[in-house]
Amino acid sequence: MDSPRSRSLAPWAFRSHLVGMLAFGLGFGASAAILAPSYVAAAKALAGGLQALAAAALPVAQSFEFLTGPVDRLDTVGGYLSYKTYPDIALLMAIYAAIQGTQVIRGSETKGVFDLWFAAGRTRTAIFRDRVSAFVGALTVIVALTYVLTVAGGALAGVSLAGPALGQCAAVALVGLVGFGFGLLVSQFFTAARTAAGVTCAYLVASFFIANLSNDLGALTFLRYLSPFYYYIQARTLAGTPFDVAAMAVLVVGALAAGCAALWLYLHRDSEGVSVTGSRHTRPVDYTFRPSVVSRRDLWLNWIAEQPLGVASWAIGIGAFTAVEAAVVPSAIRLVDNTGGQLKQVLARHLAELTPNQYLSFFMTFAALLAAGFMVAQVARWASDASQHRVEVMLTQPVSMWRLLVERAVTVLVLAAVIGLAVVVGTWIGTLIGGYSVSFAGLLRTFLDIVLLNFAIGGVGLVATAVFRSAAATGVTGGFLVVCFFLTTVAGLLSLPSWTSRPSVFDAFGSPYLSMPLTGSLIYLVALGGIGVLVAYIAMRRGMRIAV
Amino acid sequence: MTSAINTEGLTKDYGQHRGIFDLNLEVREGEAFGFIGPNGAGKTTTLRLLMDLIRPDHGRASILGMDTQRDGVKIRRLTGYLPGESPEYPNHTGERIIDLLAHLRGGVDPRRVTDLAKRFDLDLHRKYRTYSHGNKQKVWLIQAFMHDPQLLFLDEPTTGLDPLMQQTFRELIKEARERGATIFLSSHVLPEVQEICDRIGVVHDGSLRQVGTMDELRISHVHRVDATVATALDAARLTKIPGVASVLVSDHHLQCTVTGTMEPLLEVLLPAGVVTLDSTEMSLEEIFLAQYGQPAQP
Repeated sequence: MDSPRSRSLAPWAFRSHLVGMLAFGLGFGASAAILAPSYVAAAKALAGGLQALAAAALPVAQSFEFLTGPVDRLDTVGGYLSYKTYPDIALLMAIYAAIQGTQVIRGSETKGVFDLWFAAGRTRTAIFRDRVSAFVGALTVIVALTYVLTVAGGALAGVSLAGPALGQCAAVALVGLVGFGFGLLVSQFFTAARTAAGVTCAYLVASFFIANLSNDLGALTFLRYLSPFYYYIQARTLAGTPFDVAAMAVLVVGALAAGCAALWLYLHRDSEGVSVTGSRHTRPVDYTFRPSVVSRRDLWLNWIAEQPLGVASWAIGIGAFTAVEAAVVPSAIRLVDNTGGQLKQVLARHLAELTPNQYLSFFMTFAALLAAGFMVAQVARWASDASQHRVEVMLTQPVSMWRLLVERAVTVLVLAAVIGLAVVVGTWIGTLIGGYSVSFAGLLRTFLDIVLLNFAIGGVGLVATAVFRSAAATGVTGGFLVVCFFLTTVAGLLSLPSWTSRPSVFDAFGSPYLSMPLTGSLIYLVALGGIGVLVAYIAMRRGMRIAV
Repeated sequence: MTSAINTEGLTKDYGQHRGIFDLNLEVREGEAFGFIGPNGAGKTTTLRLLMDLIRPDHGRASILGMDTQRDGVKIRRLTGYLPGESPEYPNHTGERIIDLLAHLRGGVDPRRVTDLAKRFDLDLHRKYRTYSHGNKQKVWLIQAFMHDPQLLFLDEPTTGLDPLMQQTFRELIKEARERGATIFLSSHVLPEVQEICDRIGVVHDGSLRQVGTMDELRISHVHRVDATVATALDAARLTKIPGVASVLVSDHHLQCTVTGTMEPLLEVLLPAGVVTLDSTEMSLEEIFLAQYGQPAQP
C-alpha cells in the first residue's frame, strides 16, 4: 500500500524563527529609523547643518574605525547610518545566523528531534533542505524589515534611501548567509551546538575586526580576504560606495561552499556523531564516586565552576577590547588636534582641557556595554536552568528559594568583579602600550561602577527569569538594555530633558573613570539589583501558585 | 504509629478540572504507599505540593509532623525525591551531578554512592548527555537514595529501567523499608505498585477515589467470569444483576465482571445449563481499568 509522501518541515521551521526574525528585523530597522531623523535634528542645531556636523564628527568617527570600518560621507544620512548602525547590524546578523546555523541540524540532533523527523520519513537531504530554506526565508524577512524601516527613517529625515539601502541590505543578507553557512559547517565537527556556535562566533568577531583594521595589518593584510565583512565593506551603498558585484559574488560563493561542505559532511557522518573523530579507546567502567576536593556547598561557587571557559572568554575579550581602546587614545587625540576643527572648539567649550583621561572615560562606556552583554549571557544561563528543570532539582534538596536567589546575586557580584577586573587590567595594559599614565583612582571607580551596573542588570534578569522561566527572560533583559541604550543616545542627540534618560542604567553608569557617578545614580543601580532580588523572590513564590 | 504524610483538603486547581482537589490523605511512618492513576490524574501535582515546589490554593500538608510550607528545608533534608521529569545537565558527568547535590545536602558517604552506582551498573564518569534514557533515570534514583532518607517520594521510578534494574530498585525499596523509611510511590505501572506497596490510593480526575490495602481494595472480590451455557442468554437481564458489570454476551458465551458474591449471577446461569465456568480474581490493573475505563500507559 502506498503511504502518503512526507511533507516539508520548512513551514514549521520557518515559524520557529518567528520571534527571532521579528526581534532582529524590527530591532535593526528601529535603530536606523530612529538614528536617521535624530542625526538631521542634531545637524539643524549647528550653523553649517549636516556639513558642519560631519566635519566635527569625522575625527572621532575615524578614531573608531576599528569598530565601524571605514567612515565615509558623514554629511549624508545614508553615510551616517552606514557608519553608526550598519556595522553592528552586519555583525549581529552574522552572529545570529551563525548560531542558527549550528542549531538547525546539530541542535535538532542534540534535542533528539532529528530522530523523529528521520523516523517520520524525511531523508537527511530533505531535512537539510527544509531547515536551510526556512532560515533563508527568516533571513529575508529580517533584511526586508531592516530595509523598510531604514527607508522610513530616511523619509522622516527628509531623504530618500530606497535605492542606497537596497544594496547595503543585500550585503547584510549575504554576510548573514555566510555566517549561517559557517555555523552549519563548524557544527559538523562538534557534538554540542553551543560549542560550535562559540567557535563560529569567535571567528566572526575576529574577522570583523580584521576587516575594519585591514589597512593596519602589515604583512597580515591578506587575512582580510578571509573575512566576510571585508566584502561587505565593499558594498556600503548607503555611504555612496558602488555596489561591488564581485565582492558580493565572493560572499555568495562562500556561503554556498560552506553550505555544500556542511551537507556533504552531514550525509557522511552518524546522527549525533562528528565528522572527524579521534582515536577510540575503551575505558573500564568506573563506578567509584569521588567527591570534589574543593567543597561546593555554595551554589554560587558551583555556578561559576560550571562556566570556566565562558567566563574566561568574556573576561579576555573585554580585557583585550579595553586594552585596544586605551592604546588608541593618543592617536585619537592627535586626530582631533590636527583635524578636529569645530568639534575641538565644541569640546573645548565644555572641557578645560582635552586629556587622555577624558578620552578614556568616553571609551569606558563601550566596556560597560560589553559588560552588560556578559550579564545578558548569564540571564540566558538562568533561563536555561529554569526550563531544563535544574532549578527544580536544587529546590528538592535542602535549599530554600531565598537562598537560591541570594546565591544568584552573589554569583552576579563575583562575576561582575571578574569582568570589572578585566576592564581594569585591559585599560592598564592599553595605557602602557599608549605610553601615558593611568588614574588608579579612576580605575577603581570604574571597577566598582561596573560591578554595580552588572548588579542592576542582574536584578532585572532575575525578575525576568522568575516571571518567564524561559528564553523570553533573555529577550526581556536584552530589550531592557536596548531601551536604556537608546534612551541615553537619543536623549543626547535630540537634546531632550535629562529626566528622559534617567531610567537608563547606562546613564546611571556615568563617567566613573573621571568622577564618581551621582549619588542618585548609585542608589538607582543598587536599588535595581536589590529590589530585583526581592521582586524575583515574590515572582517565584507567586509562580509556585500558577506554575503547571 | 505517627503520620509521615498528612494532607487536609489539599487543593491545587489549574482550571479545566486539572490539578488535585480536596485531598485528605494520611500515610503512616514506615509504610509504602502507592499513588496510582492515569495520566493527568493529579499524581505529580500532589508530589510537587508535598515537596513545596508548588503551593496549594486551599488546604495544608505536613510531612513527618512538619508543615510543608514553613519547614520545607528541614523536610527536604529528611526526604529523597525522584522527579518525574529528568533535569538536563548535558555537560556534567554523572559523578559531577551527584557531587553537586551531595554537597547541597552537606555531604554523603561516598561509599554509599559508589555502591548504588555498582548496583545500578552506572558508569559515573560519563557525560550525562551520553547516557541512555534508563541511565539518566539511574542518576536521579541514586541521588534520591544516596543519603538514606526517612521518606522517599518517587515519581514513576522505573521509567526506562530494564527488568534487572527494576529488580535492583525493588531491592533498594526493601532495604529502605527495613530501616524504617516511608515510601510514597506515584506510578501507573500497577504491578509494581501492587508488589511494593502496603496501601494504595487511586486518584482520578484530580480526586482521590479509593484508599486501602490490596486486600481492602479487593474486599469486594472483583472476578472476571467466562461462562458457556446451553441456552441463549438475555444480556439485558444480566446487566440488572447486582454486582455484575462489563457484560458481553455472544451467542451462548458470557464475559463479565462480578463484584462481591457470585450467587445472583449463578441463579441466572444455572437454569440456562452451565457448560463451562471460569472465574479469576482481577489484578489491581484490571480493577483499575474496569472502574475508570482508561488503560494504564507506560
